[in-house]
Amino acid sequence: MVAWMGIAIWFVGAMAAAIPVWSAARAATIATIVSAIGAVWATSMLALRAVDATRDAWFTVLTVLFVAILSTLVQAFAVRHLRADEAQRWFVGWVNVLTAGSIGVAAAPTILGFAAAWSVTGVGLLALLASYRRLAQAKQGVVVTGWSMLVGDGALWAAAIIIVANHGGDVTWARLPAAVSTLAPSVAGIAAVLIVAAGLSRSAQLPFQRWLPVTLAAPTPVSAIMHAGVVNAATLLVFHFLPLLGDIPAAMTALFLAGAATMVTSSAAYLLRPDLKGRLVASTSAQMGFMVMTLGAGAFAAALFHLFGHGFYKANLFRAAGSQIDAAKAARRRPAPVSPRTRPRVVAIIAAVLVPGLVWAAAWTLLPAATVSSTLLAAYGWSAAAVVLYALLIHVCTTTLARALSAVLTAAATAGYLAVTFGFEQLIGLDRLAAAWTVPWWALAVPLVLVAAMSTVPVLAPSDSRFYGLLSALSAASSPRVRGRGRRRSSRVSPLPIVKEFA
Amino acid sequence: MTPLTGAAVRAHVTRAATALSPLWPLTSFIAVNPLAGHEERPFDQLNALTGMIATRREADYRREYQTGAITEDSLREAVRCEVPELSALRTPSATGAPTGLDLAVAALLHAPIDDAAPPPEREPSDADRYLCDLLSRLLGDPIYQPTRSGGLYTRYRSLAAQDRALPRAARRRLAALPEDPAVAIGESVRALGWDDGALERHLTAELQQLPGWASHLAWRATHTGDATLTDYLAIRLTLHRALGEFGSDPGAGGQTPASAEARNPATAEWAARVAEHCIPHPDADIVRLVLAFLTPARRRLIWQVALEAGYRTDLMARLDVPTSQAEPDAQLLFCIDVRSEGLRRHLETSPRVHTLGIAGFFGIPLSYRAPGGSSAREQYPALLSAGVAVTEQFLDPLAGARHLEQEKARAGAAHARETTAGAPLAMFTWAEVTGWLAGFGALSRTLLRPRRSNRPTAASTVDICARMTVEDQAAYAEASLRMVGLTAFAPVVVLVGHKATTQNNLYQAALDCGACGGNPGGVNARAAAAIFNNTDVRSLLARRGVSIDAGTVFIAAEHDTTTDALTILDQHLIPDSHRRRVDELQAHATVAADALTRERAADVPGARPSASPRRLRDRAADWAEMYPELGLANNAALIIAPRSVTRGADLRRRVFLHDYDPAADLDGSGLVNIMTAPLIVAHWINAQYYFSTVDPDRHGAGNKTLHNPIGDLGVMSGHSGDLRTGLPWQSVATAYGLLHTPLRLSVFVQAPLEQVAAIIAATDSLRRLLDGGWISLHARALSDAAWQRYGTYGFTPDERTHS
Repeated sequence: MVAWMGIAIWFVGAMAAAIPVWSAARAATIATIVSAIGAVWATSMLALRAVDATRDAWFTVLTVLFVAILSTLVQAFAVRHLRADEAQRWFVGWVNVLTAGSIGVAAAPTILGFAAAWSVTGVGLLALLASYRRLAQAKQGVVVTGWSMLVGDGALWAAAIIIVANHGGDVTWARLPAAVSTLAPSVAGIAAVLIVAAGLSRSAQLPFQRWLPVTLAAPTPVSAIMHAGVVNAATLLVFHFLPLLGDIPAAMTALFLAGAATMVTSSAAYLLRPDLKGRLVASTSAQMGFMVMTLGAGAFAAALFHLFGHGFYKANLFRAAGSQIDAAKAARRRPAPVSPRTRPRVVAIIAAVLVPGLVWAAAWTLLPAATVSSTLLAAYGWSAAAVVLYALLIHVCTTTLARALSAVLTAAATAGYLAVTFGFEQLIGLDRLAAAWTVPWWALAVPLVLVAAMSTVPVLAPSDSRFYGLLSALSAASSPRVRGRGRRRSSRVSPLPIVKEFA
Repeated sequence: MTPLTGAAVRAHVTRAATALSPLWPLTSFIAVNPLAGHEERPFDQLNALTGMIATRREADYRREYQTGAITEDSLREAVRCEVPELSALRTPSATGAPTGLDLAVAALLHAPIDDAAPPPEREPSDADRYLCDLLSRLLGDPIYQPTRSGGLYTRYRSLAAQDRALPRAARRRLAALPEDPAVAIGESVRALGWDDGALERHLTAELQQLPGWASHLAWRATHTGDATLTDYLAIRLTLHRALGEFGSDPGAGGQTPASAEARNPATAEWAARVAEHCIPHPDADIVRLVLAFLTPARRRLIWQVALEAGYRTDLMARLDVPTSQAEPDAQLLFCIDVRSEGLRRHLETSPRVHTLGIAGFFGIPLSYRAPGGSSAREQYPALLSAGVAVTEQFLDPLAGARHLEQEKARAGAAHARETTAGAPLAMFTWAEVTGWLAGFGALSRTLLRPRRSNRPTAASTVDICARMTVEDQAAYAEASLRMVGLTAFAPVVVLVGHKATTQNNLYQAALDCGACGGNPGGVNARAAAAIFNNTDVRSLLARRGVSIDAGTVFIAAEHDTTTDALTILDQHLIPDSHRRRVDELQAHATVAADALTRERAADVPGARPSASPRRLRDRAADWAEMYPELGLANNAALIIAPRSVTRGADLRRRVFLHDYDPAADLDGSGLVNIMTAPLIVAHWINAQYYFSTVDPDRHGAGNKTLHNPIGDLGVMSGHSGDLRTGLPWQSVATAYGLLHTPLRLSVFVQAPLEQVAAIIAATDSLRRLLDGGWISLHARALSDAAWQRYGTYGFTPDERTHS
């Protein structure tokens, strides 16, 4: 029900681009308005769920709302950003196809419907990457991404067909546990691994991580919606297929390992990338790795929370890709940052760790038994609050009163955040699915410690080129290797020619 | 062979580098002629000699003809100029037969359109792509980069040898490189077997392989000093050798296109069509002779010349409008920027407002540091090399201190944000927690479009008078006044700097004042006003024959070219006696701004003149906007003359206007100054727009939505490739047509002809530009004389101006 209405709304948006009497600009405006109406609809769906008038999963209604808002924001941006651009009409059409597909991925009622929506999203993504298809870089992006999608979609369809054939018909999510329980263990294992492969390919995880870095020859709004929306699909896939995956330790372990490895290698690439958008790409890969890893460890609510937060965050960073120079000019106009002396620094660090920490401790004693997700989310809140408070104490506040005030406000914000995330976790409720086998939560510590160590390199070893070698070895997993003469055919790229037709 | 010495290598590199024009970083994006290195060649040989695209496509010109932008008259004129042989061609038959000129025009109109597809872009090798990446890492601003000190080549040696993206064998070879880049080049040259005679050609070809990076390094070598072209070539050659790849084809410096241009499909069909359209039908041999002259490249050039001639005819007809001028209440000095013309025209609807044009830094080069700021801004044209160090003094020290505290807190917050987002571990939780807020932020940003202001809130003055001697101040002041012929003053004289207001725009500096180094010009206006209001300066000026009455006040203002608003700066410095006049002027400027915004709305993509001016102005605060304003698009001419020549004329924001009055310029140094500085800068801007339009792949920066910035030093398109040079596509065109009609700069000077001729004769660079056809120049001594065109053999009357 939700799926069909959502698909219908964004299908109207896609059709707006196909009406030739409307100029591309008008089509873009109309599609954005339709999308905004869709966002209102998605909000009402959420309200209906809240009063138990519908029975859709919470993650479904929340994700539908997220997709609707994200699509509307990106389209509203693109109305002006792609003004008088050759690709505007193309963008309007396909971004709405992509949105409709994403709604389907979140809300499809059955396995086959889900697989179809998954593939529509892939097609929409490829079409958007082909916005400037004359350009060699765009071609490269479409080809590399296309192969990844082909493998991933093939795996998903294979798994879906295995389950459906065994069941003797399409399977709704409610029937999925019964359907998979009749599968032979080896067949179930194969199906689970296929589904994991599909998720890894769509979320640009090892070994499918190579497509994301070559997709920058598409308009900025395409990058925004891709990095905020499309690459998150693994999370929804895992949620839907949890009755199957949760019984197969190999599947959950594969998720965990692929995610952890991607997070570590992409973090290294993030430290070394010199170009703004390349850095954003590396950051997305790392964030997705983190998310997929937490899925493997069973922190499902935390993964969904991360999906939403990162989505808005990254969409913003891409759209603001032109602000770098403004920031550089502002920095020159302003005083140079002074590095603080040791004693206030130590005091600030202690205060920054303690204040939110005490709030956490208080919450710990008050709230009922914590799950992996609520613990993880609380840890995020703690570390973010500590960072903010440290920055406030050291760099921003100058008087004692202001410092005290910022400590109190941070404590209050931490408490608020804990309340919200705890409520969120309770609402999603996925963590308490009894059947799921997950990687033990403490395994998360290993990759996180690795990344933490990496984070300290620019501070502790600012001029040791051996660390550079180490980081470049790690990041080589996600960046093209340079070969010598004779093996150049595989990665031919030319500078982008812009050839214009004046009709 | 003997080894090459370091000195010899460096000398060869220097010679090879003359063809490069510097690429300025985005924070101070200053217009340059991308082909400045080729200016010693005539423009019409550009294509044949360098393979550069010099004109638009023939089909574009034919379309201009069909829409009437090119008339048959201007086409005829163009043929006469470009192929004088044809107008002299004698036709055998009696009167009434088509002349050579007639035939040529018919031939141009019926030529088979021969726009060869642009040559496919050379695909960079793996090594070139890696080189781009490596240079971005070394010169850009990645989070981790262990080698921050030393020359570029030294840093490259320590970094590349560690980079696991390279094969092990290559890393080993790189680790064994010599320490001196020149020695490294010498060794490579010997290993490659290049002989000394051809060395310069080889090095030039190497520099042309990645023109964007080479141009950036050409800038870097002269401005930051941390990298040289010797470093760059050493890196290039050693890296290619280490990878066993040798890309550049010796001597591939662009001889290829000549063959394509030389072929002239003077087909029988074309000849037949020409003959058919001329009555009486001409002799076939004569037609063939005419067609033989009209190679595709020459045809395009003729069309271009025709378009320019047509524009000049139209421009000349617009000049010298008789206007009634009253004694001025206010005189406003604007930058010569073409965008000033619009506001000046609308301000002058009041006869008591006079305006003048002058280089937007008002002749006062500044190195301005904001109070407490971490670094200074170079507020002067690229032709100069240093400015007077100034900052601001707050009137109220308390308010100043408060402002400083706020700025410190903002800087601290920005720094904290940067370091937080920069640590891989922190970014996970950071995205998580702040992402939700970012969602709301984006929502409000999309719906509300907040306005931001960077102006210091506390009243302050620019402390120029404390930084210079009174004599120096008076010298600067006198030079500026004499240059524009301003010797009689209204009660209020406003110095108007200009700036653009855009959001999320990497090319903001291209819209700000070029004469102020790609920065807002308000500071220069404030400094100049302070000098002119200095009573000591005024008494010195009076002794030198320029007397400024005590009743005259100089005021600084800033013209926002995105919103057309004229903002009076330093309000606290306006004496009460002049307050009313200033308020009246401000009110008048608001009305003028509305009219100008409506006028501009006809040209800006997606804007409508009938809509409220607010709609267009809102673009200044819109982070999604790609066309906040049109910048200097459509610039075409420079007029050096008193405002009376252009007052009342609608020049459609296409003309740089510099005031000049020979009577005030006693020793002629003012004209020398104008013709060697503002004129050259106008040509740079014009050439940048020209080549960004006619050859957007090579000299333009491409579509802005693909831009991927590398620190502040430039952009690449997409995920890899060379640095892009020139202006982005959105500065010159839309998907539906050009915003900038590429015309070479037409200069008009009203001054004694012999004086103009003497300046040209004495200035090499100017003579090269004129004789090579990079710009054209017309002059006349007085406003009732006819314009004369400068040619290699002196001034000749331009017969078309008599009509």
